[in-house]
Amino acid sequence: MNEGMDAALLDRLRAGDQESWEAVILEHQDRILGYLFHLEGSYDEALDLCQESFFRAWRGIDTFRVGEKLTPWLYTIARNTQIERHRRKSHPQFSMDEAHETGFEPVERRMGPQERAEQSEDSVRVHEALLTLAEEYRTAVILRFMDDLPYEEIARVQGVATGTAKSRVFRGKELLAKALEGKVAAS
Amino acid sequence: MSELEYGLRFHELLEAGDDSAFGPLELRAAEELRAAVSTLSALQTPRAPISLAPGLAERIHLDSLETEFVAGRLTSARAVAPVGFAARMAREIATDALLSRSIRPLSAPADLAAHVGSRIYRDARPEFVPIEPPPGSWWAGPTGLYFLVATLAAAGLGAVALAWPYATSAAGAVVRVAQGLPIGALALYLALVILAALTGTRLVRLPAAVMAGAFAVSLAIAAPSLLPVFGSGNVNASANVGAVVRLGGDLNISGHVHGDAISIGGSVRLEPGAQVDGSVVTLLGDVYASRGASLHGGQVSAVLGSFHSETGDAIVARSVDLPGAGAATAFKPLKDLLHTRAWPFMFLGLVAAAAALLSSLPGSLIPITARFRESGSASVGLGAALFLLAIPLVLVSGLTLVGMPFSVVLALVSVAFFTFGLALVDLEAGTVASRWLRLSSRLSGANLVAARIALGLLVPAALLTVPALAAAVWFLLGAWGAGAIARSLMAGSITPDALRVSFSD
Repeated sequence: MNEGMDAALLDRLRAGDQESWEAVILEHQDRILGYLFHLEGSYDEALDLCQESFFRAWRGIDTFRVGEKLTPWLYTIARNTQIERHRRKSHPQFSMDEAHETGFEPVERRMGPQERAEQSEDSVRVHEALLTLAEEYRTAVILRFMDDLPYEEIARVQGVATGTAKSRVFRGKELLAKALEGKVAAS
Repeated sequence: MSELEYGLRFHELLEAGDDSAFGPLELRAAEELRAAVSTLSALQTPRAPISLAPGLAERIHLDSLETEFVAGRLTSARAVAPVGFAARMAREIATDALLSRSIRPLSAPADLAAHVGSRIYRDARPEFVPIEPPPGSWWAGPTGLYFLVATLAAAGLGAVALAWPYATSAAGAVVRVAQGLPIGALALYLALVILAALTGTRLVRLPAAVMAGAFAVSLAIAAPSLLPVFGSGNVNASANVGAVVRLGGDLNISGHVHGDAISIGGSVRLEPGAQVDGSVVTLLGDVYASRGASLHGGQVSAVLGSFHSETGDAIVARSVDLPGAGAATAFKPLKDLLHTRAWPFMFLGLVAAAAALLSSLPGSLIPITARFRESGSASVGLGAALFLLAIPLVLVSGLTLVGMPFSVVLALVSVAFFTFGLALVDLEAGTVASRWLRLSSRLSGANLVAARIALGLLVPAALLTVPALAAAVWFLLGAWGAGAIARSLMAGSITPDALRVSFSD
């Protein structure tokens, strides 16, 4: 679905068609959850943000254009949701709390054995090192390696020029390599 | 004179030191040029960074290699990489590989998509948001409400009047069955009730696998003592047994039964020479007493059935609580149906009808299916707890005059809950199967719903070949679905508006 979206699917999504949304969420939920997990550092927070991101995607689907790629658009929403979550702590705005009031209970789960198994020792160290990076470098590196996103798309998600996105990825990698020096075999 | 010729002429005169041919503009330009040259001479030569030369050299070298490679002139002897190139590339590749391995998607919970999808569906349809009843609704005003309550009360009283003798006898029969059960089975029942109630109310959060395991272990323990009770059975002429209980089959007695002889969903036949020291009780079955059979001190109760004796009441010490012949006749078709192999399929038909009704209520289905998917153990726990607690409640209240209406209503609600619970499971299983088979691209509307219902019923129907397994699985599935419905009702997620039937959706 990383190809430009066709008009028929977009119409179904705009109409709130449950099956179409389920298909879209199923296809993207793992990478969005992974992205938010590496960005946020907490599985529970990431899961909550992931649900909120998809719900915001629904609320903002009218801004999505035919032919546009869905994956970078969803990453943009996830990133904005995560940034706003931190900003919201002092200024509460839209959140899943609002959904709670209408009887919506978010899926709540601690990181289970399956998720833990996916986290090897090196992965945990990389995850910890990622959290030491500045947000712009962290986002750039995660997007580049999570989904092999082209620099143009990374630039779009971050709202910067392509050259800036490229240098953020390189600089982020350098910083990570430095942070991981002597801690993992690969570095 | 062209610009180039003018420039050359100016340079010649400046070199010669001949200012006589210059106009005022040229003189000023010459002065500024001389000043600039002397300033530049005074400046120190800027130093390039140390890394510039090797860096540039490396880039030129790589560029030339690329040119040679593209031109096809590169030979292995000339392809010499700069010093440290290999180590640097290896480090970069290793870092990239590590990051590729480590920064990966994370498995989201399986029900996340369905959960958020259902929320989006609901959000897209504001008509399903809980709303106040519009003024003028037939049930909104006090007159309509009083009418509804009065009608229900009248119907309830009528039902109580009709069902009273049968219900008390039925309750008595079930109490006798309970008395005949081993103490271990009762302890198991209590343990299951506690476990189910704790999980259902989410006081204890157990994984679905633990819940399923607990039920499986309970069934495995109970199976040896419960399985022989199902179906028809005989007490042979030479046999001396205690209490005998049959479920879903006839009981033929030729020997001596020292306790009660009970059949639920079947008849009791007292053959010549049969002796029963206790009571003979049937629920939805008849009692046949042959000449030569004897009852010592007990009573005969044929609840929703009839008593046939070759010798009349003389053989019976007491015969009470027998329903009237008219009422028994009215229930005869139901009895006959229960005695055939068709009734489970009839029940599946009822489940299919309930599923069709549920699928026509999309507004109410959304919160139910969300709960159904998100936490199966809580739904199973609550559903099982409700059923397990409903049984003694029906019995105890059925034995008292005041609790009789409650008993009847509770029994009906339990059966309805169980049926709709199974219907919900049927719909969910059918939806999953239809997605797997990609039926939505070939069918639509009512055809798709019918296909989903049929697909969902395949497994419960197939299980009927093993009745005991079917009973266990049906109970668990029914409890799961009923628990999800109950949780939605408790959370107030099902509104009157959502219950509006919409066959067009």
